[in-house]
Amino acid sequence: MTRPCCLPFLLITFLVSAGGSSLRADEAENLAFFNDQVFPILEKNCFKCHGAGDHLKGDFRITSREGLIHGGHFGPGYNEAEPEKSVLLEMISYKSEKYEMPPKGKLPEAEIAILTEWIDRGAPYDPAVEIKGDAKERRGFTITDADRDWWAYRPVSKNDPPEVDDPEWSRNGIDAFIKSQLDREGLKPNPLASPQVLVRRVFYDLLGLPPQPAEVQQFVNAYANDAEKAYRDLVEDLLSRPQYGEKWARHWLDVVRYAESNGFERDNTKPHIWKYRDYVIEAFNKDKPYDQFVIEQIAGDEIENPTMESMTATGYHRLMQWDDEPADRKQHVYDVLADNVQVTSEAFLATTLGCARCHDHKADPVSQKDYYSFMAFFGGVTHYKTEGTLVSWASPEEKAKFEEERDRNLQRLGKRKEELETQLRPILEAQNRLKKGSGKIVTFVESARSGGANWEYTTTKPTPDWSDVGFRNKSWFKAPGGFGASNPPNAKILTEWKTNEIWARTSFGLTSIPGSLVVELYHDEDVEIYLNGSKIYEASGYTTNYETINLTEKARNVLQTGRNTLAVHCVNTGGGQYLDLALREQASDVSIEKILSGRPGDKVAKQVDKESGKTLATEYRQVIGSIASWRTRKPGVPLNVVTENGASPAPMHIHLRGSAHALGDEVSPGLPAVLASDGPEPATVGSEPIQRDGRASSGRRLALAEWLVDEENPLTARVMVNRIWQHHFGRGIVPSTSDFGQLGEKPTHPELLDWLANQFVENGWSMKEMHRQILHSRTYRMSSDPESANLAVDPQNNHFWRYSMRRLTAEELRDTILAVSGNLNLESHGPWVCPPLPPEVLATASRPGKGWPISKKESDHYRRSVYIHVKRSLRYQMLADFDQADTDTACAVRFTTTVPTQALAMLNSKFVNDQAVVFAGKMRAEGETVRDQIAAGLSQLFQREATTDELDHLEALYQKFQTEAGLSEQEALDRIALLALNLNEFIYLD
Amino acid sequence: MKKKDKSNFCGQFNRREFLHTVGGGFPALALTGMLGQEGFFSKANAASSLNPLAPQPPMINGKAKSVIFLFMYGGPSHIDTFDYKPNMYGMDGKTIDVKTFGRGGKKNQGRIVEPKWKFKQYGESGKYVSDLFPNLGTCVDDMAFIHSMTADSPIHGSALLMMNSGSLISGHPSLGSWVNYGLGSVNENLPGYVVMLDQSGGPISGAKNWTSGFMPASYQGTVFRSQGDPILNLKNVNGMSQKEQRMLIDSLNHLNTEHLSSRYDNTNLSARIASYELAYRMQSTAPEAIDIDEEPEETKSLYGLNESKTEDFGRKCLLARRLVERGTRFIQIYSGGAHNDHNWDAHGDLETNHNLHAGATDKPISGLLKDLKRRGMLEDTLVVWGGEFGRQPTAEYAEGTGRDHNSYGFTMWMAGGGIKGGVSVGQTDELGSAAVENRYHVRNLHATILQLMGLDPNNLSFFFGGLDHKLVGVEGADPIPDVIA
Repeated sequence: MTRPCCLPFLLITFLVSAGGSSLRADEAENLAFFNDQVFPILEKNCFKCHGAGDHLKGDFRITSREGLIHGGHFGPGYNEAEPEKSVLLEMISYKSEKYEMPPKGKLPEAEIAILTEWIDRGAPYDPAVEIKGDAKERRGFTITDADRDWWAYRPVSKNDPPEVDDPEWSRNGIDAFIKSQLDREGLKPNPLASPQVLVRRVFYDLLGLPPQPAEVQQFVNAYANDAEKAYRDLVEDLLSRPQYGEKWARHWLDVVRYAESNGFERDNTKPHIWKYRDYVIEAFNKDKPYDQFVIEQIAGDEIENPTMESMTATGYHRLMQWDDEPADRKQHVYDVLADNVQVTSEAFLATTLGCARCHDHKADPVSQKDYYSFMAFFGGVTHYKTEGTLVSWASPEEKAKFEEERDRNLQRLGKRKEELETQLRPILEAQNRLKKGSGKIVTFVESARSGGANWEYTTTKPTPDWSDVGFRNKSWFKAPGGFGASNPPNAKILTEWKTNEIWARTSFGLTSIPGSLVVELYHDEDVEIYLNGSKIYEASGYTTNYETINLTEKARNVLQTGRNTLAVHCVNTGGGQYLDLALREQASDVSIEKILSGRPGDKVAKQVDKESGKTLATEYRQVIGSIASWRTRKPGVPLNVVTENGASPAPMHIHLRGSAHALGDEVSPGLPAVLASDGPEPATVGSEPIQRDGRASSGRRLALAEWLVDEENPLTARVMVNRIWQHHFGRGIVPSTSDFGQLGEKPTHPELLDWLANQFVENGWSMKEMHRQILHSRTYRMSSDPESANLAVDPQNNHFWRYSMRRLTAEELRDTILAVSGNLNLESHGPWVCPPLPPEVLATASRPGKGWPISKKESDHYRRSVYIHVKRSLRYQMLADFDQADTDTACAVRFTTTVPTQALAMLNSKFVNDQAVVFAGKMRAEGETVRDQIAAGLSQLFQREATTDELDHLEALYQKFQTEAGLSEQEALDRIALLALNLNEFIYLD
Repeated sequence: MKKKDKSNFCGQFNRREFLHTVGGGFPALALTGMLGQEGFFSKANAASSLNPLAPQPPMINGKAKSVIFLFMYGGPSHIDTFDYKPNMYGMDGKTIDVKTFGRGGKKNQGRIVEPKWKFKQYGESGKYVSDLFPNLGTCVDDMAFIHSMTADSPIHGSALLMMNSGSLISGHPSLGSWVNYGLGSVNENLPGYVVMLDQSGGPISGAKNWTSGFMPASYQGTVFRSQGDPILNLKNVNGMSQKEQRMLIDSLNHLNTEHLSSRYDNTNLSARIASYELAYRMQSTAPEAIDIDEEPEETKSLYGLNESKTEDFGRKCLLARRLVERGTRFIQIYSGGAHNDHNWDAHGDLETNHNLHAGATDKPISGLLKDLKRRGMLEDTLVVWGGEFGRQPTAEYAEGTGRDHNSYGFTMWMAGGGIKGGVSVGQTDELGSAAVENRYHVRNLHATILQLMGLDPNNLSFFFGGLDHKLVGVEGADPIPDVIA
């Protein structure tokens, strides 16, 4: 590098002169100095945001001396003990990026000198011009009796259902509560809905799918016989079907903002995270007690005997958005934690703790200290990384057995490969296939054989994000590659490496994306190579020379012009160490392996064997295939889960203004004071470090989980029964189901809520039992018909005098269209699927078509919507159109929008039109005449007989399509089918 | 400035009532405002305020009615475009001490790449503009330049989110969503928030850049294509004719009205009926909006439609004007898409990259400004130009002219809609490495846009997750005073 030249205009540095040691000037002179010189600067540059305007930024007031001394988020502005170290001077000096004041630009040096002198003089202030703040500003955080008496924080009351006169309304506890309130309000409950309406309603509420015509018929018949029994049998039947879990899991996935990719530039997928989705589905289907469901998600790795299931549940902590290349790495670590704190507090406690990240909560009695004490429960969780935080779930015996088998095989195969090469070489040479090519090969990273590249490396385990693009660590060493010890064969050691593990990074620039990319790799035992944070290669077992591996395909999607980051990790457990690699374009010279590997090698091998009359080339292909396969295999089942780095997490501090760079007091794991302690301080919770399956963790999350499901906790049971209620009645008893605080809504039926919460706990936190109680109620079975007297009093149905109509959810709508066409594939579980998306939608991605690999099996295109890939930057259009929950924020209540783009999708999209044609085909098979066919179609859609009017109308339209629009009979019925799928009755319950 | 009552959004809703009202289960988000206008059900008039896109009166005085945001994706180099740094010529190749932060991390030293184009003075204001923009140069007296922009991230993913939604983390509503939330749309036959993408692909994070985040989806941007079918699903895949569709919708209305008769109180059902009429009309109004055949040749060539390199962006600019004429509130056009040199992200060869992208946009943008002006539309149409950040004064690598990202200082400009023309605000240092005078954050830019649109940036809020969210953040931000006329 050339010597730095100093541009003259960059050399303007000022020596701040404060007149040496502090001169004691008399008071009057100080005041005059302040008024003449200091005040104008402060007034012009600082007052607006710090005391004279509407907002007090950073909680810092500079309009009074007291305010200056008291300081703001970054501490006292004036340091009386060491004035020259005052924060005010730091800020105006623009030396530290974390605070530069005033933000609009650095003050002229002359003004900085004046302020420096002012501080040096002891920051004299003229009381006549002071603007003093509200006394409230200084108020510490308190919790009043009224705060503690907020309905949600009171213990759950033990109450019995009230007495009601009507025997029809006193059999079920829910009914008694509802009826007594209706009586008080002078409202008359609606009559029961018809069995046809009821069966459709229950199917959707439990399964998210419509009943088949035969199921409707069966229920209607049984209902005529013994309505009560028929209904109860129906509920039992549906609760036992696997589709129940798929429907109810989606409600939970909204609350935890489930998504399967990280978002941001690369929007990488979260590998294996779908297992968490399957876990939730199974939890509902198995009726896993809710308390256990809570514990497993929060701390399934810390419980006494972790199972594969409980480990999978901790994928809960891995669902958030995550930037692999954040502008501010440290801050982003806490952004991720904050995201999880927010979701945890809202999902389980219906408390918007997130608002207290930057300052004490404005509405609820939650302090910033409460917030960070709560965050400390998660302080030990390992950071997320591009490849996911994977754990292989296998027993130690399974692991050992696998490794023994792998090493034995690799040794055998390696030997055979060498033998075959010896035999093949003369044959290939004779066939004129082995010759040197020409042409320049561009090398991006040199191996030790040609001098070695410049690497940064470490031998102590780095943070898990070490391979990410934006990772920086000044403590890493810089050295040329070719790392090793004890002179292994064919190796040139340029930097000594004697430990068991090494992590190394280097970078290279590209002006264009190369057409091919190979790595020449000589490695010790297990090795992993990352390019721009994505793992592009891994292998086990050591090599004794360089191997050439073609990574063109893997690298294509991760290479970028400009700077690229190559990272490698290698393990040695015995013998001499060695690690070296080169990265280059594919050479045009040829090797035996290159000739015979990959798809083109297939034909060549056949030809070679044919010409030589032997089968060596074919066998060679099998051998290199087996080697590659053993190298990438791992024992056990990979899970994307939470683990901790050890028993004692780093200390957690309060972050002033929410900034990870402005640390306040240290805090220990603790529960919000208003919920768990008598004073204003969080209730500190001790936790025991835990050792499970060779992994150490702090035990903090387990302590939190146990408190969440503790009998004394007034929120957890209330919150969950309210959610279950919400999805049966369209709204919760507390309408703001994730906010029970003072900015949320109050319960419309508080006694009922408490009664349900008690029932829930008494029944062993059984969610299915809660469904039964709700579904068996008369309240649930009322019709949705309008009733004018009631409408006049309670148009919003606040008192539940009827069942509230609702639109099908996005998933229900798509699944129903597939169900009626007969295409729905009810296969359960497994990796996500990618049904086709319109090219116009794919074109919105920055890598159009990438990241949405259309599922190969056509039947996968017709899986239930809960299995469709949830990619943050590319949503499945139809689901997004119909208000599927956003992926980035916890969604407790979905919006229901009605916009023309939905109508366009329902009328014109390929998906709906294709399914309409299939549905029309089914209609044709169900009747002789068109009229019968239409009747069959409508009854399948609506669970009722079509009316004469409807049939007349549609039959006439069918004719009109032919006579006036010139359609064929087939096309005309296709259009009728499409029309039917667009009817309000189809998309609304009931 | 008079403040609106915070608890009352635009005199229509209590903000929390609004949130819970639009939540599932409640009679909600209806298009009944339009129904009322159509005379379907007179009783629905009463519920017209439930339409989330019903036109709202502005909160404060603002001149602009529409925004056209020309997004130079990838980050154009300010010192090669509008931020004239005469002292840098002749310094090429010299290594200097300068603090930079880009994709390549933080550095304290670098090799100067002098500006690769010459600058000339234009207009009465004498504004210096580089030779990349000979056409745009002639418009400088209508433009206000902010040379002291800063952002929180020099990395595309998070920086795009910040420029579009004010936050480095995704999930927040985008600027266009805020504008439509605050003002509604005056043309129900077209989307109120339109996004036009580059042919090479969308920007990083795709739809996250025009998401409505935690607001209802009614406020999200609609991707609009300049050729073919402008909106997804606008044409029936099976070739259903207008006539058939009319017959189908008439029948649908008939049966739905029948269904409604016993559920007369449900405004969602009537809204859904109305939405089919709107969809039907959109199928003719949207293609009409993009049908530029009726434009005179002179206008077409003003936008550069007669030249292959400017045709695509020119067409989008012309469409933007046509959409503004039809009442669309917020239009965003991306110059550049996908990755690497498909956009302004000049890491490799600065000259090739910027010649390409400036070449494709210079004429169209100047055409847009001139056309708006002569039609008297510039007065109430705010045009905003810029990328997610600027570029560094120094080279990214040992060789070549590529510049890395720079969020310490960069330039954006605005024109029309209440903007003072011919002014330049703020300064970067002599190298353009960082803003040093009158620094403005992205939030100040957002505040300026909202203010010009008649929305009080510090009081326009949406209640979600226990917090009154604002585009300009919890602490608020002021508009940039010197650019407002």
